Amino acid sequence: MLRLIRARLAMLVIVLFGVSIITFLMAHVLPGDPTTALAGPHPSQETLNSIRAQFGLDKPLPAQYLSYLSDLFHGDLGTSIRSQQPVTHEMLAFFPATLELVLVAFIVAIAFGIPLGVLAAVKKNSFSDYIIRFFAVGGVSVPLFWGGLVMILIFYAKLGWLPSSGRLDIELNSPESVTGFYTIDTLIAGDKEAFINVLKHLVMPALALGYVQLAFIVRQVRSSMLDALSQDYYLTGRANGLGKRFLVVRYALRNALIPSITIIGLSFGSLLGGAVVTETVFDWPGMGKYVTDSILGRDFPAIMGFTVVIALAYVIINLLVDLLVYSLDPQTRK
Amino acid sequence: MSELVLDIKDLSLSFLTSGTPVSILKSVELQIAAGEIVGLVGESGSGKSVTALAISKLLPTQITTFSSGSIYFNGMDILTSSEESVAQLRGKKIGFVFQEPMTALNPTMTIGKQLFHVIRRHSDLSKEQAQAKVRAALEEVLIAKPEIVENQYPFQLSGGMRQRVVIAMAMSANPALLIADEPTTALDVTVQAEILNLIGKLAKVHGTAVLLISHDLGVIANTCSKVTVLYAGEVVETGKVSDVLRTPLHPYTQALVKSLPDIAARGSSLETIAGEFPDLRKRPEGCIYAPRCPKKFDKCSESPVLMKVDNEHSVACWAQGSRSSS
Repeated sequence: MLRLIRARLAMLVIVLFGVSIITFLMAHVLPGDPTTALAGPHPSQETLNSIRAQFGLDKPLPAQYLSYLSDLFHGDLGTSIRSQQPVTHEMLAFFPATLELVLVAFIVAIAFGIPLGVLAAVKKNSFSDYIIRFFAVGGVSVPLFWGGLVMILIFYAKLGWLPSSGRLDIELNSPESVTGFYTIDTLIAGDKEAFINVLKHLVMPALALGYVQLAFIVRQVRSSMLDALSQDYYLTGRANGLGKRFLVVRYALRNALIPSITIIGLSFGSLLGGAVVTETVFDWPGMGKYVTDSILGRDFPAIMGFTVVIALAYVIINLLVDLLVYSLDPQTRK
Repeated sequence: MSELVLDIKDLSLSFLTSGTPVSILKSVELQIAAGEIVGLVGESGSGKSVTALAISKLLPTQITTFSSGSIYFNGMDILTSSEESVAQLRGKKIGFVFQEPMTALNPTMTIGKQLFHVIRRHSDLSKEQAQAKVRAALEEVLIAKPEIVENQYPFQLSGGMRQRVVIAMAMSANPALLIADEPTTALDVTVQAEILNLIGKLAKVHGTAVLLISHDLGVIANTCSKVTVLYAGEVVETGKVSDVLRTPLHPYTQALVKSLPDIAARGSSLETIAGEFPDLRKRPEGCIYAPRCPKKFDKCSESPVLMKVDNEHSVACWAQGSRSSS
């Protein structure tokens, strides 16, 4: 167990190192220069030069990279060109909103995806299997932004049940930040009204984002379950008279989870990508909106900071997945 | 003759393959009395495993059609009984041992737990009593260190050990019938003998009726008292092992016996059976073996029925019938 964690942590360092090089190079290879964006219309050469010197853009590329890397080690992601604020601070302000949205979407997807996948496999080719597969195909093929817009049209514009944007009504004060998760922070503050309001704001973006993931999980679990259900040990279990529910859960699902969890964990990356779109559609004040604005403003430090943080989140999630698989699969525990 | 534990009469069934029914078993007859070990022999695709699975109603229901016959287990008609009542028999009255010990156990559950759940399912034992029974069951199949093995996962055990565990599970509720479907095919020859001895011993101690399925006449000869020979889903010959293997009457059985390797006749090439196994989608009219049979004559265009040669020895062959009558 410890060996696995150590090996994974070493991997994490290597991955982050690679990510830092790639993001750094991409930011510098792409045409367009932040100085022109910053200096306003018709700047003098002098202004441009002074801005370049201010951000160290006049130094050779390797030197720029080294200073970037050393800052990174100190938790300094640089200074945003647009806002002149430390990127680390901005990340800390925006990241919890994104993480809350992504985690809720992930939990919804898993909580419904696994049981539906199991049901579809156990009742293969039945009416319920067809219905589940129909919605699963829908989730995989309908574009996220379109699904989100349709939801806004129905539940906000037509029915008026749910708010269409933001994390909280403007009349209500944001809770005191403890975790950065509004759901938890409002509970800590004991503000029931704000908590319910936060949940209402979460429902649509989390469902829109989670649906894609849910569809993916259903398909994955269904196929792993079908495989497990056709295994010899399942037949042995049946021949030994074990109960159907016990067989499905402890024989089939228990084994089907091992490949499923690995793949679900890998798909977490697409969830982070999907968050960017979701946040734009629902005007969610998270990293997605922040990075979209940064890319349009050619704010290199912000883009690089975003990429590094997302890579870190992705690697950590996969570390957790590995540990989970490790605890589920006795063969890896040898 | 003691009471029949298993009595299969005129069993015919077919599978639906890509829309068309394919006849898999045709008029199969098989009887096993308490304490008796009966062999079911035949090549791959002859319907041995299908027969075994049919007894416990474990065949995929969507594609299986029973066209005739009945399966009586202790007098209960399996085919007309509900799924629930047959499920009651599985593991409790009918034990199953499969061919592949490597994949027959749940890879993510310890040996002890797997046995524990089967034992609890079929008894009213308390957790402590069931735990003790797990130990006893492992000891009964001659596993040397049950206290270690019960905490191990299947992948930590050898094939022979796993098959012992599978047998322990199948026998844990002391069933009336044990169905062993090629239990030793995947194992080393030395382990094979141990497993067969174990099955023989357990059957004797508990008075269990055993259906031993094999394609290996040697295995049948050493373990069984009676044997039924299956060819393309039809019984071609049945009788005492000593009669059937020493004086085989059906040309197919004769060819099988001849094709056994003989240590004494080293250097000579093995006998093979000419022709090919029939395509079951196009079951030929008349005797199923006729296309490969060296003794084929006019009469063989009609389907033969099992004819008694003496009290327990029966054969489905016109050549045999005409010889004994002439």
